[in-house]
Amino acid sequence: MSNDQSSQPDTLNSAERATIDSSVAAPVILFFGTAIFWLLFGSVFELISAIKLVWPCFLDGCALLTYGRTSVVSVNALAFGWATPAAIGIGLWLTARLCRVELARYKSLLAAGIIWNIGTFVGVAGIFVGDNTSISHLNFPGYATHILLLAFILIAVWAIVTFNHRKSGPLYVSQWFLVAGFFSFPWLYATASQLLVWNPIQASAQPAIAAWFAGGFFNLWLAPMGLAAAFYLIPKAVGRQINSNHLSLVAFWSLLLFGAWSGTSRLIGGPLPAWMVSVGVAASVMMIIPALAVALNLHFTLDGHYAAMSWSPALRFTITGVSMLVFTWVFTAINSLPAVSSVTNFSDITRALNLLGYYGFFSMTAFGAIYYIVPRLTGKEWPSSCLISWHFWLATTGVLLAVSVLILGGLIQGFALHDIGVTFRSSMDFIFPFRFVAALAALLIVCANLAFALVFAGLHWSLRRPGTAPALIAVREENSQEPVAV
Amino acid sequence: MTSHTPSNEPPNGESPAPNAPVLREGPEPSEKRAPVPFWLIILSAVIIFWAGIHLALNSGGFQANVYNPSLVSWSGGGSGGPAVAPDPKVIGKRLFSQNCAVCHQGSGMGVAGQFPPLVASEWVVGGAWVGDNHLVKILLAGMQGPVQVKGNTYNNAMPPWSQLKDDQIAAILTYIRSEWGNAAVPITADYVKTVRAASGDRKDPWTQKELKAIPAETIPAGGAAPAAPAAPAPAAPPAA
Repeated sequence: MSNDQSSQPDTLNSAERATIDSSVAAPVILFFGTAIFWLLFGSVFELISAIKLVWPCFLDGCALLTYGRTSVVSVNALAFGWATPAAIGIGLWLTARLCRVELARYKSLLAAGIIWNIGTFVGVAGIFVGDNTSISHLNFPGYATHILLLAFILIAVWAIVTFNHRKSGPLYVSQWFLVAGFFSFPWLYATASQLLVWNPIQASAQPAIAAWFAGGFFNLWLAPMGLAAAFYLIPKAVGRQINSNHLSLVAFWSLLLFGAWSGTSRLIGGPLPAWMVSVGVAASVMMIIPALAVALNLHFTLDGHYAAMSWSPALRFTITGVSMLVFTWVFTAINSLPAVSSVTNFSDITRALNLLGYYGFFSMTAFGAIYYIVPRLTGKEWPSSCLISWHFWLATTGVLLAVSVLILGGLIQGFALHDIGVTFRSSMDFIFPFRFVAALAALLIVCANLAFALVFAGLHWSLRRPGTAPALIAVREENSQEPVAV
Repeated sequence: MTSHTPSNEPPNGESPAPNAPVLREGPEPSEKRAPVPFWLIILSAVIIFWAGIHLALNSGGFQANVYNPSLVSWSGGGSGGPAVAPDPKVIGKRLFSQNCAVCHQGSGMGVAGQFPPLVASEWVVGGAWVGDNHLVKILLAGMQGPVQVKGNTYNNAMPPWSQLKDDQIAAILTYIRSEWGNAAVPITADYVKTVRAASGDRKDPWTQKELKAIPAETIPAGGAAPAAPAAPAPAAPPAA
């Protein structure tokens, strides 16, 4: 990966960009549109589950809406209906742009997108009728996971073939992350499905594989895809070069090396050989290295040029998302230390860290990328800067509120659970007010997602005349030296 | 050629006209070659060093049958056996607050006229004719009818607790006999088992009269087999 900048001129002009964009537009818009549907669907069920935790008799008359189904449906609809297709859409556009080649057979990708959504629908329906596998993040029954894997292989093959036909010069950092992500997901998903869903191995070994998959799904699939978007959008939007390719290398390789191992730290105290948990703890702590490398690299890139964050939706969402990734990794490292996790394990802190990673980092970064990508694919500007602003503040407030109350409440709950003199019932009473506020925060997140869906639908139905100015969520000074960055 | 090319149609020779968002884009991103900050290298080395030490000390020698790393040395020696059992008094306190505190109160003082106290009660720490076997029997089958405790008469019903396991009953009794200034010897799970076997499958609550007919047994301070008859009374004998 030699990076001689002098030999890497910007060979892509506007006409070539337009050609590449129009070749990927149909599948990318399909992935984004269906992803936003599942985002709304999943977050509504997350809200229902959060209400059930504080008011158990809510909607208790219907077997389909019991907590065991709503919470599992929300996790899986968000992971496989929203996050994964959004990552695929971003990955397809970035691959074509960065490899500087047009997409040859977009119809196979359209087919893959449709198959993927059929698989998600079958999986969610399977959970509703009671075929949940009870393995976190792999709850879809076996007949749905085959469909998902088939669709993903179509996509990954396309991504790798495009990568091989690239016309670009030296690889850019986003391309490393894209290739890593497109290889990791089928590896993780096929292995975990084979060992846990299709032909389950002996029960005592299952939790370790489930934890490995849950850790890998975030660290080796969603994190690389989100970082690929951030490393493309941020320097491009502010018109500056990434500060250091050495820091990018450190971030990339440390993430790939430690990310796959970090999942098992949550099994502390479980019936597993001690070394499995200790490896997870060591890897989780070492994840501080990619966290710092990403944070420093992007900060040095943006230093003194943060102004565009105030008016550009794409930049504001992406930078917020990446900063939450840094906090996710640092908090996960602290939470994995045996002295800490012996108290916080099984408390709501796990819920807080999941929310921070999946919504705070990945969803926010994906929102930023979608705000940047879709106007280029459709040639239309976003219809309402006011709604985008609402989307940002509702999402940020919701996720930060939920994460802070669940961490505070989780500490109290964890100490109560840890104290052998305190009854389980009392620990539930202690966490109750915090869960109440977390349910309110889930409502804010649903409203944020609704605002996003409305903006997206408004653009699709051309509520704004073409040729109008781009949607800026704050006033940009007349004589600002910064680029428009949207 | 028409002026408008649908954006989702693959290009066939004719490239679509660039739209406004594409036209305002900056150049494709690239990277500078600034060095990695020195302090980050040092910090990374410290973190990796710590992680290695942690792994070495807590891996149980990478043996598949070691589950508790704290019992195994870094070279793999040690038993890795089960964890030490928790203090029965602490378990007893939790079980007491779950099951008993509703009537006898967390303070062990009971409710005047309704529920008898446990603090310094001859029924708990032993009396003239009241032994440790009576205390266990009351927990197993319950008690009803008039009863004298510390000179006051109570007339109420206590439900049976035979659904609790021997070690749970032992934990509760050990707790109430050593808390609030009470200082009687602990009751072991083995002793509860003996009394449970001796009581057979009695389900009816005891009365004071029935209990008085049973000779008292008292566990000696050494914690060995119970001795009969009762030791000298530390509290006033109940007026039966």
